[in-house]
Amino acid sequence: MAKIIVVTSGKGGVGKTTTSAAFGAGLALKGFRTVVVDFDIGLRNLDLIMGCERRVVYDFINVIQGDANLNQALIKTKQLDNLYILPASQTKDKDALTQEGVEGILNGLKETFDYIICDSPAGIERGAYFAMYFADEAIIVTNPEVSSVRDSDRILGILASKSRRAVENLEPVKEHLVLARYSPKRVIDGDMLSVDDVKDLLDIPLLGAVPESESVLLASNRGIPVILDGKSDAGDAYSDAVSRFLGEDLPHRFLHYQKKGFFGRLFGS
Amino acid sequence: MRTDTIQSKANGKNVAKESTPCFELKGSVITMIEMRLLQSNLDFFSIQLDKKVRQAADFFLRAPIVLDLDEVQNDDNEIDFLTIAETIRANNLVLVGFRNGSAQQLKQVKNLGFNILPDTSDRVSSEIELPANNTAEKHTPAQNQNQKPKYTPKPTGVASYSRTVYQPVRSGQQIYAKDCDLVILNSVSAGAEIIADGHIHIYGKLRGRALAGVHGDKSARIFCSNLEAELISIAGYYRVIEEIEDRVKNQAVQIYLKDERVTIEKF
Ligand SMILES: Nc1ncnc2c1ncn2[C@@H]1O[C@H](COP(=O)(O)OP(=O)(O)OP(=O)(O)O)[C@@H](O)[C@H]1O
Ligand SMILES: [Mg+2]
Repeated sequence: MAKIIVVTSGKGGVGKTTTSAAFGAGLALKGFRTVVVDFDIGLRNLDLIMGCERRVVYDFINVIQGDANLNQALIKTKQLDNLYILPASQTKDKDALTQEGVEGILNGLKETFDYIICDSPAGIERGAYFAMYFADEAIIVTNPEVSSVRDSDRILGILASKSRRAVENLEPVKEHLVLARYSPKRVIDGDMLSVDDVKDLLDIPLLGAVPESESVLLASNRGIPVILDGKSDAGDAYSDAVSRFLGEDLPHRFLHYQKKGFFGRLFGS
Repeated sequence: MRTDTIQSKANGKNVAKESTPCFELKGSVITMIEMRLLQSNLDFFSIQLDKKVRQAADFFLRAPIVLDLDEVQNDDNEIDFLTIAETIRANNLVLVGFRNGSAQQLKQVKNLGFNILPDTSDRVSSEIELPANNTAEKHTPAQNQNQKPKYTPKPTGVASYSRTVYQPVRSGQQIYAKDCDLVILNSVSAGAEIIADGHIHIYGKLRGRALAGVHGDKSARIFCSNLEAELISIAGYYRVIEEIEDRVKNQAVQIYLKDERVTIEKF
């Protein structure tokens, strides 16, 4: 049975698209047929991060409006055979999203894919609403700061009251937390909330803390999901998070500050 | 020109029908802050208000204010209501209206274009129909039938003497238990608001706002297993987080009114 996962946060720029791309690639690596859908109508950048931007012909809105069919709009990624993206429109307005349109697309995708990952735009308006409405599970992306946690809390409230599962009185949307851009050093310095603070405030299960890492930007500039990097701590953190998402019980790495030893300093990491 | 537009509207799709409703009415509870004016001399009004608002900027942002003139009713000095209103607005508060003034004061207020709200005495007289402020009675309706109540109890309908919430109450959510107690078996996040006409029980952390006895029941209490609240209020009397002592923070407490003061007591 296909699963719809929304990656959402409320606050902007916290790492939703990075997380969507990483989970898409991570699930595809595990052998699942996976598609990442960009709901950030008007600001698309998922295709950039996933290295597909030059092959966008049709988009989400074209399919909703009947100008193209789903297969014409889906783009296969270069890195993985079973990973696809459905790009957002850069020209159309988010008002072009309709409930029936979104439902139709998701139902179409369910026939082919095991996992449908919806990359939500920031905010709590139309785009974010449709990205979460049909979700079975939600990955809440939060940065370790008070305003981001507060917005995530808000989104959790909306998921619990306004999603399809809430409205139709079905089993609630399953909630997961990804703590992105985490810097154990800055927690010690008192500039950031700790993992425990955030877990205490939001009280949902933690898939993983992803360290703040330059490799994320480098990977997205090259259009390759960071999880495929192989040498990136952020990539490793995402790969652990995907395993936990699939039910594996792994110890958390990256939570605590480790002073780099002599060799660490010498070779970086 | 004019008739053209009207005609094209009438021909277009946007034709109004009397049967299509333009609005709907819903009962809703908004927490308001009552500001009691204590003197007609306003020399320090602005400074004092500014100081108060700074203590809890988030809480006061766009908060609705009712200005109560009860204490200055018999003060013959002219009060500069315009300055009051402007100062309130300058502090990002919303002045809803005035009440409890002398006839002369209310006339002045009205001429300035402000709203006049019903006096509290009007409200009290209509509330006298509530059962006596003993909450035990609320919980045992049978007793009400046997004992002759002092006042005619308000018909309460089905036996819904409490409302129970199992899920966390998240930022931006508001829960109101009308005519009854509210039981929360989870945490209440910062930015969430729980409101009850009766008592409130919270078996998780209280980080948001809790307002018990919002219709004036001064015997209402808040019970909570871990207090970190932004605001607590009993029957309209409130305390913001800055006014909560560290001694009781993160503790299991009960909160009640004692001599019109919100009192917090550790268990
Ligand atoms: N772990 C990380 N370490 C360093 N930089 C990161 C990390 N995660 C994300 N970033 C950077 O943060 C920026 C925002 O990330 P991203 O686009 O994924 O966020 P978003 O939540 O999708 O933003 P928006 O709300 O605009 O859609 C990007 O420049 C990205 O490279
Ligand atoms: Mg994004």
